[in-house]
Amino acid sequence: MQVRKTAATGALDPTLALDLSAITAESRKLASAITPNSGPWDVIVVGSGAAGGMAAFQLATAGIKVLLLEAGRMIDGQKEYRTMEWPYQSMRRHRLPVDERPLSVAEYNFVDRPYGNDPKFANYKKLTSYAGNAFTHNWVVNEKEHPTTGTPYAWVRARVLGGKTNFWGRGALRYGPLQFKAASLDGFDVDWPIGYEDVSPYYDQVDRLLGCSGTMEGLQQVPDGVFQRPTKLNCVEVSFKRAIAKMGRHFIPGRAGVTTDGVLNNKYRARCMARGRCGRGCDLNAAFHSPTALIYPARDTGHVTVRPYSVVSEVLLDPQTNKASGVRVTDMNTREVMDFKARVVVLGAGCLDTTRILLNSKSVRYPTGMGNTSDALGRYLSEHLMGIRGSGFIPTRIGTEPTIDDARPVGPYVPRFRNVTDKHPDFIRGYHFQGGGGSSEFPGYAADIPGFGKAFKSNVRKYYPALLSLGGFGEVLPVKENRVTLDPEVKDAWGVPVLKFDFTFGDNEKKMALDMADSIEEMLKAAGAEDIRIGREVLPEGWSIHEVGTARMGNDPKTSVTDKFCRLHDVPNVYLADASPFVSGGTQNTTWSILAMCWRTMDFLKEEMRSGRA
Amino acid sequence: VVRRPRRVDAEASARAGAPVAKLSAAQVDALLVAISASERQPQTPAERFFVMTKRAAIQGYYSSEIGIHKDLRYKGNQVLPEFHGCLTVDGKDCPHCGQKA
Repeated sequence: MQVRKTAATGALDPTLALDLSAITAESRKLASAITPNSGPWDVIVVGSGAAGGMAAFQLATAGIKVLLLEAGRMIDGQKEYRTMEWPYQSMRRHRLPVDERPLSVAEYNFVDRPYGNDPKFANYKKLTSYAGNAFTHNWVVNEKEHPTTGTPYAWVRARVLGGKTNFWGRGALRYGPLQFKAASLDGFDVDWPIGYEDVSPYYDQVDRLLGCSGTMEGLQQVPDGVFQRPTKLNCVEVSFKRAIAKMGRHFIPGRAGVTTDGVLNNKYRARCMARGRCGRGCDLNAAFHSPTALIYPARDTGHVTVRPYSVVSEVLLDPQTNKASGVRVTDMNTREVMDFKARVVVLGAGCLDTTRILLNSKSVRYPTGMGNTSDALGRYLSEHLMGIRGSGFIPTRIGTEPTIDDARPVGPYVPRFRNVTDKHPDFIRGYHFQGGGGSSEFPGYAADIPGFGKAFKSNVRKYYPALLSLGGFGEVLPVKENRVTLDPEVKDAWGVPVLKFDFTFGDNEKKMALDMADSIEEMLKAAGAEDIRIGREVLPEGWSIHEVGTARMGNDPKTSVTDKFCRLHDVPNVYLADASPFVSGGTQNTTWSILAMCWRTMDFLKEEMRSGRA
Repeated sequence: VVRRPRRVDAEASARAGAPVAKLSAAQVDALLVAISASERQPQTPAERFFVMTKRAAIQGYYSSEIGIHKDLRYKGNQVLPEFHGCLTVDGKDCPHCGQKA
């Protein structure tokens, strides 16, 4: 591989020049060894993130032969998860190499799509989504190879074994009755065809299998789970909790998809050691990462074949039987096109890439894409509105000695409080806040402290233990008009048509955002915070990485893409394992729901296969 | 980037009659006070230079060993058996928020 040298010294930067030659060579070897004749397989699973990983694990542990296709390479977690690295160990202080950069907030809104085509990026070899950083840049895709068109959308994709679970935010929240039956409560759109009682046992099983840290709170807006040892609130958070309790609002320890007590079922994972650097990839694998938590154990059964570098472009239809016969794969390196066959196809490529594959699976019978007889495929794109945030300094800790405040996988959060028992006059649905306080490694507020020199540094120290900040996640209403389609002209580097976005936040979201900002301000004031700053700018669409809904589930094939078991109405041996069938997105981070829903779908599929129906 | 210090030098010359390198410590301090006065809304090239340089200095200093460990006395990023939340680790109630051990 090319060695990166810093311009100034010519010296090797060890943190940016990870030697990935061994894992790349292993990936190429695996890819070339697995051909369409290497089977047979019962099920093809597309994608290896939360969805694909769980699908492969469930099927393999039931003795079903699985071919797991990942578009990127294998991963070497022990080398690539640089959990404990200090910024001064990096010559560039954890900034990307000079020829790489992530898109900025303003660029999403003002650069024409495809983003990578802009002449200002001509000198960059790699242009990533905003999620690209020194720890993730070998995983997230290059916008130049993976373009999008249409309206602005910050679409974060990772092509590597485990996908985005390698750096996910670990927020492990459940949907509850307020999500599954949202339409019954406020009259907007439709309910899910299933209820919390259908998914609840699967959430329990996910908690037990993977480990989930949290506290029992008895809140209907975010149901309790089977929790391992919770994390605690730090000092400023305790003050904030007391202040907002008087307003009837909760500030509870974050629920993390991290095993704080350890799991006995998995030899690849250790328990959390409170280091607090999980977003770089946890090298103890206490945080849930699909490779160690699901894929390696699945592979150990002997029933899973993992083929990396496998870019799936479409699901193949057998017109005689109206069943999928397999998938078409382009090898990422050799560009060889191959058709892999199996009895069943499970798509877990991520909500939008799964949708893209289906839209691209055109046939005489399904000219607008497989699963699209209803015309719902690609529609109802939803996610969470982000950007509204607030911060302040909690007086009790101003000028005190710093303590360990950030040694945990997630910060605490304020569960939804709007439209739970009351009814807000301006908008339906709700939002929650995630955040926290205390001293963290880098004092992000320093740029806002005036002056320079000794007095400046003294003030940075003074406020260091006292910061409390929160950011909102608001439900985006699923509407038919918010959609993706295949761009008729633009293709990605492997010749697959790209997604064209037609997505904007609506009136309900805008009104909700106003209330979010006011709510944060009101709570910070109640906590007596000093120097309160409220951010009222909404981040670009897509920022939450919580996209859901573009292949929604329902009982009526005329209005939905899948049935209540996430199986295509059109083609009965194609199942969706990711968040694409979700009817609405709630305010909750999606990963834990993807895992639970996937487990449920796989239980159904296992029974179908056992009984010979699939 | 090279032109901006020149503009600061121009500002220094206008205010104190010499480029920055030839000013006394007190004169440099006075210059910094002047060009940092409107750092929330910088207008002149020298004021913008101040904001840019300050940001870079913050980024560099607070990602250094001295900035993180000696100045801020950051205590995280270490292996712990458990995160105890506020200062109840030694078995006492938190002196700041009063949370019970």
